[in-house]
Amino acid sequence: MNVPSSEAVRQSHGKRMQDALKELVSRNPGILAAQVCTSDGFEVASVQRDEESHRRLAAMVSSLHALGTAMVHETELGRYLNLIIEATEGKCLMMAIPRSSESLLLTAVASPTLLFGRFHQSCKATCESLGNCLLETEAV
Amino acid sequence: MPEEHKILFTGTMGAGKTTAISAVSAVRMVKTEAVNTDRSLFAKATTTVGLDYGEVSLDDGSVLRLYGTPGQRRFEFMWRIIARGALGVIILVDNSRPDPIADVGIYLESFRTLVEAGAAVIGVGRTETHPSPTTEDYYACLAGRNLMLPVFEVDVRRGDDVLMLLDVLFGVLEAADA
Repeated sequence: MNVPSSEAVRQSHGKRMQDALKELVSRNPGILAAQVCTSDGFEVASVQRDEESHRRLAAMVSSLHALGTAMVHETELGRYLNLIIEATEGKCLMMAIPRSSESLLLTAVASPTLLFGRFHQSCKATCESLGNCLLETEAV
Repeated sequence: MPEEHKILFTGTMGAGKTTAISAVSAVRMVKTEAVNTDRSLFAKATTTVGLDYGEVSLDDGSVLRLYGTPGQRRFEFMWRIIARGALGVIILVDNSRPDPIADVGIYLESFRTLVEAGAAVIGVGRTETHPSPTTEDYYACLAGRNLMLPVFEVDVRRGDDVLMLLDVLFGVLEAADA
């Protein structure tokens, strides 16, 4: 499978992805940070956290996604969709971006005040928007 | 309940960690590979980003649980997580890389606790096409760090070579216990 590098994705889709993440954060005040990264742990676009933190987050998300996928396969639950981490000071949601062959992942971090249902729906909508962004560029 | 021992396989990307575990695992391996999007550093198509897992059953009924770490340094946090509770570590080296001695130094440092306890073995691969550095060079590197660890030239595609590394690791551990 020929999967583009994070640099290639950044160049072709980076601005649109950055805009989609900014919109996710601005429409949901409880969302503290958001990022798109490649499945092998390179950041493509991000909002709200410092650069070093984004790089570490991208690597961790990639590991978690891979482990989540392995677990879905092991338990015969079909296809991996997302991974949720709940903690005392907030929550994280990691989703595979559609139409990217699971090579791109969205991660968002939210405060405890944001209701999970809204968090999930907003991230899902952003994922769809990011997936459409990939399709539209291919159609050009 | 059979005894279980946790053994790590570590080393740079492309050193053969996933291949080594795959060569000996008696169970279907857990692999967490992603497509490698940074071909400028490594030519491999895929890279481990989580961990590898396999098992070897011993004659006495005990089980070796084999864990492979991701090779790339940005996954160092996984090395610390996976290393918890490990009995020993097998450091695999790719002798075709530009500076394999420096590479092995990274893992000697990162797994220092196990290494200083003598619970480590080094397996050097691709020596048939890249004979230098020699095992003597690796021993010199270890001596410079006041370490004495077994070093072997191996082809981890061969199960027997991997089993030999495990056998030597256990021999070293038993000797340390005696």
